[in-house]
Amino acid sequence: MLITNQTKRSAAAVILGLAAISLVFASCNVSDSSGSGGLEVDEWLINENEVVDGGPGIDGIPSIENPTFATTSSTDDFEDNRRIAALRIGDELRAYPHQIMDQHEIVNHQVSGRDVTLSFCPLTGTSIGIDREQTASGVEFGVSGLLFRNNLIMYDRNTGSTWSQMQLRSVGGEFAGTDAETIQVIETTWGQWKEMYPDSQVMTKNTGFNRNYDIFVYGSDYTTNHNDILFPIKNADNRLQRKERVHALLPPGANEESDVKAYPLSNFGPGITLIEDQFMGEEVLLVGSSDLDLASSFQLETAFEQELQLEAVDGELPIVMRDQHGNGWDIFGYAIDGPNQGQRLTAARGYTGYWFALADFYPGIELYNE
Amino acid sequence: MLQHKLRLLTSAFCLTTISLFFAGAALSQTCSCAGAPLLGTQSAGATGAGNLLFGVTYEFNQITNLYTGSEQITNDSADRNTQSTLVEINYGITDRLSASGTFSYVRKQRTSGIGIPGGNQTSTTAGIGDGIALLRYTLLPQSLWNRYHIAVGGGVKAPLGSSSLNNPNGRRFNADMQPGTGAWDGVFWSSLGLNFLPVSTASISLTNSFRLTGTNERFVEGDDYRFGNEFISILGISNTITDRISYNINTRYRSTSSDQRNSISQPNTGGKWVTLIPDLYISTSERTSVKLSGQIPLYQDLSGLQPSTTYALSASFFININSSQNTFIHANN
Repeated sequence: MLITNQTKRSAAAVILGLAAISLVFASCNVSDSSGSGGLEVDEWLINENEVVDGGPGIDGIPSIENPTFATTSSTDDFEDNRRIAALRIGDELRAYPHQIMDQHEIVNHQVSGRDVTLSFCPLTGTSIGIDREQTASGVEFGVSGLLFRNNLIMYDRNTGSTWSQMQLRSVGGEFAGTDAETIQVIETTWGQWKEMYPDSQVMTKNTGFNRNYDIFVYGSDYTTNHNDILFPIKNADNRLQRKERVHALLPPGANEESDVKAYPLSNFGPGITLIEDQFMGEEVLLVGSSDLDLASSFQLETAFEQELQLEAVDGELPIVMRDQHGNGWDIFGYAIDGPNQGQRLTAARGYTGYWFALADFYPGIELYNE
Repeated sequence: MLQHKLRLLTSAFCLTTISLFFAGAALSQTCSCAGAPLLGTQSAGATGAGNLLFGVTYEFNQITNLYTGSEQITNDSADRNTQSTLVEINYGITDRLSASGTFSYVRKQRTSGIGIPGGNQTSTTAGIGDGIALLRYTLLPQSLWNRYHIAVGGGVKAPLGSSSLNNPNGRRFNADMQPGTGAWDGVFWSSLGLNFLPVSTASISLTNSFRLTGTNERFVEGDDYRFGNEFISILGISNTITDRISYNINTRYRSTSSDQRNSISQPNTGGKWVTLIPDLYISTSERTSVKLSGQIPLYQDLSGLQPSTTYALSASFFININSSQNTFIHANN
């Protein structure tokens, strides 16, 4: 009788165990996402299979909403050889150190009364300024935590639409296909910026977050190590070294098939160098310097612009070129000296970034002077 | 006798499975960023010929703190936790040689965007995690005439867990949200013990383990990802409080090298952690015991910017089945 009872107990235990195993395995390998925020994307304008989770989740990299600024000449918080992104609206010049942007990637704020987003993707080395009001009503950008070909995908917190930073447009959701209205951004080193614009404003480390902005979040040699790429490259292009910086011109509505042209910063020579070229049938002017580590581009659209005979100027920073009328122009295309002071050239649709990223985004990319 | 053993094995297996289910249903997993507990929970070596030790451990690892090097910074916008259920089976093949297997079920939760205007989002993954199989050999057993105990071991960590879980939109979670690593690892283990009998019931131990990690393909073929090698050293002091209650005070040093992708070190991975781990053992019967444990981070020096353990709590239940005595089932009847 004892054996019978033990056998029964053993059998019951086995049945219970099997049932438990079934339940355990049934509950295996599950995943879920929920919450009050998120993306609202049914269809993507980019290959969704290449959209990857970067790790930190939506807004896991927190954007800066209330940046504070200080006068550049009185700020000694940043390393001279590390880069900044900078924009100019009217007389307001703002610099955004990569040391800070590495950990936030997006700044939502106002400049000269305009709602401006400055975004920076550390992996592709691209900084983009966006006029939010001109782009789409009510948009406010956050870091989606997703990447497409190593590049930041932003999202609009109000609609959940997604925006490809390097395609300069929304790629999913309510605003899919909408181009971002860009604001020209230049990049250079902090040391160079201080020399060029000592009276400008620079974003301070007082971001509202207690962070150490002196570290290299992506490693001290990420910006120069050509082998250090975090996510796979789909379209490898060996015409240049991967981390060589190029200034690229793009048409509106850029996508993978678009004609894009790249100008390596190394093509600009050590002093200020002007490059006159044609892009998409239009005359364009590029200004840059390999030593100063900067480049910008302009469309010569108006009769005034087309008639200008611009020459590169060295040793007069922030003036980088002068015209036949005696106007001195800065890297943002503003006449800051001369009879036409206050006038500005029309910025081209372009930005500076790592070669590997541009070539990966735009496989048909044309290389200047090739 | 054989029937008796079979019955014991069956019952113990079922108990283990049930425990795993209940723990897993409530929660579940390990995190690559901090405190993967697979190596840290190994019991102490050979159990004696024919002895079978079952252990079930549940661990909750809160990973909120954010560190740059050794500097803690604020992290109000994100929160993570990892819950792990570990099942360890340890069998004494001979008096000196034992085999053990540790299996895991893990649940990882990541909440981001806390306090951000767009609202927050929580992502969760859960599933069977990786497992470890170890052979351990006691070089020098403790006895009345020898106060030292030395054991060594080696084995493998098997990629039982999924490393390709997707979110509901079909997008693959990052490696640190996956239940498994997808790679076979080599595991090396050693333990040194010293007691002070008959002067004192206190004893000290030093347990070291090392995981030599393997490589897993991540997004596309040829895109190799390798978690950093892991070294854990635990220095512990234990003593009895009563006949049934004892305690351990452990200091754990854990070091991982940076993850590698295609042989390039990945940023924000790898570091060193020093953790205080107080344990309380309660012998609930001749064959069963319970361990309650906590983890208090003392120091960390992390590469780049990384979340790290804020605290961890765990509870373990052990059943020791000695073949030379009456069985557990019989004893409880």
